[in-house]
Amino acid sequence: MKRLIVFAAIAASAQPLKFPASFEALEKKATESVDISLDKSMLGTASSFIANEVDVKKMLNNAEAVYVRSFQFAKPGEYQMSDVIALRNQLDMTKWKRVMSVKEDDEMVEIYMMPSGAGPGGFVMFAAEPEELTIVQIVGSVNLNDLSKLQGLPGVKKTKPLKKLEKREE
Amino acid sequence: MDAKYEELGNNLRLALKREDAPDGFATRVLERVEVRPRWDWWPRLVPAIALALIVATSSAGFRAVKQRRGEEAREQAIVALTLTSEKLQMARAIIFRHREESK
Repeated sequence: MKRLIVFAAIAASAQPLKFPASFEALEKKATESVDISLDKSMLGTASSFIANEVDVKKMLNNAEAVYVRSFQFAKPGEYQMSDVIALRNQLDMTKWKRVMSVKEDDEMVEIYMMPSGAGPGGFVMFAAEPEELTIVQIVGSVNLNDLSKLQGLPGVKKTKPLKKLEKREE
Repeated sequence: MDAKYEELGNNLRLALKREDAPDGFATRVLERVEVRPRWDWWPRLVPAIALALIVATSSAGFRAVKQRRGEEAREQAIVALTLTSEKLQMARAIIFRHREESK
């Protein structure tokens, strides 16, 4: 299933991305949606309820905030790229650095990072597929390698995009 | 007069003479005490019992809420991290394919 993913993580000001009003409409059109907002306190609580996954606990403890919004649609064309661009334009490019931008067919992934100098640091990633839009914002110290290694966390099923990737890589 | 007083005194002494209780008197008294226990003390315990119940219920409720919130936070955090991980892997897969195609 083709998906549009917008993944974003913001740091320094620790301000969450401001989602345009159009995102409320997207939620109504989506067949599935995820809306997660975890501040430092909630991340600490979550960490305390994770027993054995040391890497996950470390990531949660290092983060200041995590925001995720994800929409999955029944068919392509339910969102506009302008929605993604409006979010991306909120990033102050004098502070943020684009570290990854990949495109293939209708898929796109962009990652922006802010060094943890004066502020807490963090990153923003935008990824897009025709039938899915996901926005994640992480404030704080983030290690992309550690994040990408996370697999098979308890209580979470692998989602369709990952299965699709695994199939492609075969 | 003295004779009358003396007679009255004798009658009083006779009437007030100490006598042993009939057989089984003490047992019968104790049986009646056991059959009719006094319940007038329990209203004094009501506030204490009520307070103990409130504290116990509140404490259990607080722990249940805390547990539920913690589990929800954990689940949300894991979903967020898993989603993040998947998107990063998707990006890496695209890069990998581009490299393979360019070879």
